[in-house]
Amino acid sequence: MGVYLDNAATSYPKPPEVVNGIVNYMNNIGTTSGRGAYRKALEADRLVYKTRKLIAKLFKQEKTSNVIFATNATEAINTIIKGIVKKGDHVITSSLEHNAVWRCLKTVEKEKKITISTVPCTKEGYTDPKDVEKYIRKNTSLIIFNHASNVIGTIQPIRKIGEIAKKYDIPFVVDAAQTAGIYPIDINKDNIDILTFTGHKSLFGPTGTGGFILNWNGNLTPLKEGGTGGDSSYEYQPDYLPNKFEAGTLNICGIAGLKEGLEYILNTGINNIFEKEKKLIAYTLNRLMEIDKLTIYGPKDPEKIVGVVSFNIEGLSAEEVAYRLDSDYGIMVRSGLHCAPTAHSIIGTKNTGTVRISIGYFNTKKDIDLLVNALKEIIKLN
Amino acid sequence: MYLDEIFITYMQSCIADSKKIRFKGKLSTDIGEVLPYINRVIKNAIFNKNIPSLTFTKEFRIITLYKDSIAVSKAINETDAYEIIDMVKDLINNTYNNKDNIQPLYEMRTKPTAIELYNHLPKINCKRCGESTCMAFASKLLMGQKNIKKCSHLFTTEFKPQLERIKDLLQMMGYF
Ligand SMILES: Cc1ncc(COP(=O)(O)O)c(C=O)c1O
Repeated sequence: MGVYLDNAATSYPKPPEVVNGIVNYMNNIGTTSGRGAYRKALEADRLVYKTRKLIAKLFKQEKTSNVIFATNATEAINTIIKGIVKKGDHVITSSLEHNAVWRCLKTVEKEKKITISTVPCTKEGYTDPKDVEKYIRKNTSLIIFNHASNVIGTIQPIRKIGEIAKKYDIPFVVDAAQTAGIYPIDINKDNIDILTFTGHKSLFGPTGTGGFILNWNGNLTPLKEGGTGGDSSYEYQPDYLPNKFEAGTLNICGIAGLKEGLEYILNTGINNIFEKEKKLIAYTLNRLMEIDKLTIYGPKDPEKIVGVVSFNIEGLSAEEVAYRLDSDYGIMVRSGLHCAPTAHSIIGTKNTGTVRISIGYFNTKKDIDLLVNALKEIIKLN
Repeated sequence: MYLDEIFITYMQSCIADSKKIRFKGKLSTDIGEVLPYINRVIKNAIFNKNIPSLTFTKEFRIITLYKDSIAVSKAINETDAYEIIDMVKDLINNTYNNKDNIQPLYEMRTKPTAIELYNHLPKINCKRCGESTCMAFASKLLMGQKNIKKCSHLFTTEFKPQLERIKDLLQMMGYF
């Protein structure tokens, strides 16, 4: 089976309940939601609703209808950026964005002549929230930050940034792809206007699930138009939630799995998940620091990161380390830029990339021991 | 838990306003005994002890509870439907858990009047319903002694808004 240390890309394994949830849907429900006239279609509606409600519960949003499904975080982020930002606007973002945000912003920059300010951060990825305020202009229409970097794991001070955004009445969007499911988030206390999430990482759902939670009353135009189940004679997209943003048949099969993932998290308790991972992160950092010739990027502090650690080994390329780990030891890690080139500019690895390990809820100390032993051997044989 | 589940069994667009939906559901517990308690708790509810039924509104939505079923009209969408279901379930369970502290109320506090119904009828006294006047028909409607379908004029497109309004009023009385 091997050792899987690429949970920041997608979590694996999933709790067995997730698989069973999907199988049960396929075998026993199998219908689409949206005003079906028969029982089974209503069962599909109910399943989708329950999943929405669990998401609302996890992130402490009261309104279930404000939970919107999308195919992944990327689609949610595109909807929000393109739905808010108008010609000539100004946007503020972090220096550590994933391409889901960064490429979308760069495209809008070209098409709508907007300006983008990236708030600087230290090479550990720390942002000073006060810096955000300095970049605010009259035409700033959006502040978008990832909650934790997918390269170095650094958790951003979103609550403070959100406070500033609130003061200036600018929508604050948080890309929680790397934190949703492992880090406690309270959409109101954390001053988040829109939270985007992906279902297949720490929420334990299958790929093709994700979405956003609207906690903002501003005007957001949908990215796509199409069928929503009801009121088919009306020729335009409905303006009520969540249907406004959910044109086309939902991924109910995926949502059935996501529902079980969410229940698993809520039953286990997000704080228990967080504490368990933190312990393993601390263990991992300590063990990696034993290794000579190994440079860890980012904070090296389990209190400041999610379970993502990037490193390089002197005299070996990141690709080679990843390849050897997989082929000789069955250990799965990532190498390269991890879809976040600006983050690599910050840590000085834009040309080399890094080896990235990412820890999930089901990893154990033994997995880390196997990794450390393998790395030591690879260095010795080099 | 007193009431475990409400299963939605039917969901369709509203007749007059296709942007809204109506739905029906089944209750996993017979809640007949709790209805008078809810009647006390919800100040503007309409309780019809003969059926028994209890109708109340949540903003523009009209919700009617029977002893083992529920009918709702003017909900927004599926999500709204299930949110209403959750809200009603909590209302029933909380009322049940607290019923030692609540004085049950068996009366109908307010009800639509025959005049109110009459105002939405065609007022042409055509007698096709078997009554001599529209006012007489309105009184029978209110008592549940006549079916609205007897007024064929109301079912023409011209009277669609009036029909919808009368149906709302009759739902409040528990007749739907
Ligand atoms: C920080 C961050 N944002 C966005 C994404 C995009 O997620 P998805 O590929 O599920 O759309 C990822 C993961 O790939 C990520 O790590």
